[in-house]
Amino acid sequence: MKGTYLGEFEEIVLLTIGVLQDEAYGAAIKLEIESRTSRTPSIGALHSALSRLEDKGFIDSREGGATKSRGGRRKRFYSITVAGKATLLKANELRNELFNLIPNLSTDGLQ
Amino acid sequence: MKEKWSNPPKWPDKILKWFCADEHLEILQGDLHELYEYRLATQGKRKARLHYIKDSFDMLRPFALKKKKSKLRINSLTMFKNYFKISLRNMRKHKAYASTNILGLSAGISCFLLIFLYVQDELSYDRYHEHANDIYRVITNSFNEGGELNRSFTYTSPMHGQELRESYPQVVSAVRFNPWNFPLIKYKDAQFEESYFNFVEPEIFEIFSFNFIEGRAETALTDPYTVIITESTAKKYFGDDNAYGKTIEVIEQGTSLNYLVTGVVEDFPDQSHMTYNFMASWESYESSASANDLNDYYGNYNYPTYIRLSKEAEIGDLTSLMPAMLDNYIDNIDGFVPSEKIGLTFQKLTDIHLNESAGAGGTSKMYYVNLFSVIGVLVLLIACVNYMNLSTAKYANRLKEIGVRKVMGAKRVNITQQFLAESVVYAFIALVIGFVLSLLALPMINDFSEKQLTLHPFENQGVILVSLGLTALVGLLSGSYPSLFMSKFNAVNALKNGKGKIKNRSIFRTALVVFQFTITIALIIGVTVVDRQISFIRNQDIGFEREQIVNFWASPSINENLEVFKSQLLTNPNIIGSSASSRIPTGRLGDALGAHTFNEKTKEKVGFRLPFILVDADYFEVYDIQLLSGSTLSKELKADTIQNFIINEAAVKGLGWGSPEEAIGQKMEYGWYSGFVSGVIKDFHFESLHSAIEPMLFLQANNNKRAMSVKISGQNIPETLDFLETQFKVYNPDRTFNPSFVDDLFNAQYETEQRLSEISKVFSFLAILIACLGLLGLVAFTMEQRAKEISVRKVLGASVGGILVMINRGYLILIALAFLIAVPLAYYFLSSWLETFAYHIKLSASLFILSGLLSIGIALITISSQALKFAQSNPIKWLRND
Repeated sequence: MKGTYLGEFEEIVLLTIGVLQDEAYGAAIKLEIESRTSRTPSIGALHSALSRLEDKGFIDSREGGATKSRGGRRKRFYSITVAGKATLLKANELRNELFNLIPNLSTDGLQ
Repeated sequence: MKEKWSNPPKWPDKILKWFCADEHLEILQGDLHELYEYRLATQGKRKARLHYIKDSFDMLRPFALKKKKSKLRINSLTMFKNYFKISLRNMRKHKAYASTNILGLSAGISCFLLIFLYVQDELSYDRYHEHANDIYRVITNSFNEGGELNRSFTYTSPMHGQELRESYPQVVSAVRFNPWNFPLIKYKDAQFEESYFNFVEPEIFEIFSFNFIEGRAETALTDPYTVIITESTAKKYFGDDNAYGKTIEVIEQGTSLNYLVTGVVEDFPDQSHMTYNFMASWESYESSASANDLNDYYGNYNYPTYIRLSKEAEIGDLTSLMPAMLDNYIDNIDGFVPSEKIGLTFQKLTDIHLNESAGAGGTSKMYYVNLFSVIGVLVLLIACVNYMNLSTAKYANRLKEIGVRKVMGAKRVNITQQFLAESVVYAFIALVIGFVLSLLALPMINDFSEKQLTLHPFENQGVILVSLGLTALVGLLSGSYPSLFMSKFNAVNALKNGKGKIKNRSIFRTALVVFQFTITIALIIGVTVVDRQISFIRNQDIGFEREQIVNFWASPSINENLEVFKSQLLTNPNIIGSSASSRIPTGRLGDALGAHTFNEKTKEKVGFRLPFILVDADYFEVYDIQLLSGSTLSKELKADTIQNFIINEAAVKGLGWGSPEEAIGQKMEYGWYSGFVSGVIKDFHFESLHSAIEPMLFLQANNNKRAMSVKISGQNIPETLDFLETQFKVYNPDRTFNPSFVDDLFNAQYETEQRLSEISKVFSFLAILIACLGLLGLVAFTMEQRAKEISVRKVLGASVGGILVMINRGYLILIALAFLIAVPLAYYFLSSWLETFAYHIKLSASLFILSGLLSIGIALITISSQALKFAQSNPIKWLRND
């Protein structure tokens, strides 16, 4: 296992894959991230992250879905593994924990 | 807005394909295309294209790049084990092919090894001295009146060495030698005639390197009547005792002197141009030679001289200072400035052996070193070419194997490696066999060349290096073409068709065959020419009778009683005549004095250098030399003041007289003699046929004539020789009688050429053998490919003869081409070799045509032997499986 640290960007990607369910492939993930957050990752950076996530065992891939607009080339669909889900939950928990520990942090006064 | 569809630029795709790993390429490119379409719709064509390009390059991140095949490295050891196993298996399966191939390679390697040994030995002469690179031998050059080089001597006048040593700072040291005339050495019961007795100056140790077994260099040659001997000499005289401090008796010309042994040195190695078994101190010589002798700067060329140059100096600078030195110390010679008549040059020690003429004049040893090196490389090349052709032919049958390998995942590089490995295996086996062959041939070669070459890796470290390098080179070189050729095949085709598609005619392979034949034809031509030249020389009329003439050294005691000795010889019925002279034909014309003739009209002296020999009255009769005009010498020696000179035709021309008749009666001064020309004899070849006939003069004088020539009848030769020995012993009881026959001496002059002829015959035979082996294999392969075609022809009615003709015709064109290339090559090299002889055969067209026909004959037989098998076979056999 190549370490189990989940980077910030990797977390976003992983979450997006969860959101997209069965339609989670490269270009779609990128467009989804762009529309939901205001980040614009390059397709190269995205695939790099996807490759890392796969190496860490957080996502699985399968191939299929060749379309004309891709020149007949297939897509690679990603799905979250059990380990991936566990990591996400842990990360979420950790964040909430820390958040709740900060005194006087309420949403009053913030937009 | 909906833009019209346009394709993304293609070139980023190509770049991506080059770098991207196969597993990712499709996916990534798909995404790129999809995004392009998206942007085309939302942002327009230009932006879409720009982004496409940017994204493509952006995709070149570590995760996407082609991984290095690190797995291959780990596997390669295993793979090579497999390659090795398969090679052996194939060899066993196709024994005939494998043994042909290996035989050819072994022959080539063996040749190369032997030549390497020879060349290595020749190049190593004299290099064992510590200062070898700084040592030079002094050469005296004599010029004639036109300023041209007349002759060179490896001897100098006595003062040259001393002057060089004392007056020239760049000369670290100089040493003079004086070789002596075969003294008799005696110690108690051991008594031998020694031919290598030399006086040397003590400076010899500053120049040459010696290993002392007894005694020390500093003290060995400082006193008079001391001598150093070599190890084997010490053993000869003293057995296992120490030689140091013992006294030996040196007897020469009747005088006997005692010399003290002050040192024993290791024997000179074979690779040394000089071998002096006795080196006596210079002081001993000085006290015996006349004072005049040693003060000469000119003439008296009896002293080999060597110098050692300091490391910073240039030899050219020293050479340019020599004319000044000569002019300084020598008076004008015949009215000429001395430096115009003689000159001194310096020859590098390491060049001496190689520049020595191989034979009596003509080509040098360096020439043969180069020649044999070239031959060695050529023979090896032929063997490699052979391997290339044979293996390519046979690999056609392994297409299935290659197909399977490729399917299992072998890349082209793996296939290449496999066949390279296989050829290295062949090369290695060939090396072992070639090594054995060389070992077997070595004793013969050593006898032949009078060397002591050894293949033993401990004695000759070069052997290991060369052998390994050779294996690698041969293996890789021979394997390069077949392996590249084989790896090209498409696996699928190979498995489908079985035989696969191989071009029957490949330009490269045809070129190889032509190459082999060119060399073979050239060698055949060469051998024929060398052979003819040698028999030409043998049978050339040399102008004197050389059969049945016995020659031996006439000692001073014989000379004193010459007439009595000669008449005593004539009492034997088998002896026809005898003569004493200073030199005999087949020797060199070494002695010369200046001649002066008197111009008719002006009564002026005209100078001319004329070699001479001392003769007695019977000389011309014994050697059957024809007299052209005048008369030969009479038995009574005229008074010393007026001489009767006999000269040859060439001298007549050289001295400027029109005809032999005109020369008679002409007044002449020769050296310190004066007299008239009383006879002219027909030109004859005193020296070897390498040189043209020189003008010469025959002098009758009472001085020592060293050579006795005895003409015998040819019957009862052993008894005649015994008789001669008895007569010899009457005057020289202590000496050994060493007769030789003049015709043997004559043949010895051409020994080198003879040897060359033998060697070239052997090598040519080898080359032809290898080439034929190759041709055999190639034809066999081609036949197999064309088996079906031939069978069909047979069915349609072709005769065996017709088929043979058809097959041979194809190859004949190649041979004709090879012939056209070989002829000019051979012509060029052979004519330059023939030029070294003053008398040589002409390279006639018939010679070339004959060689060509011979080559064609050999080729036809080779080809037909294979073709016949197929032509005679039952066509059903080949057509059955279709």
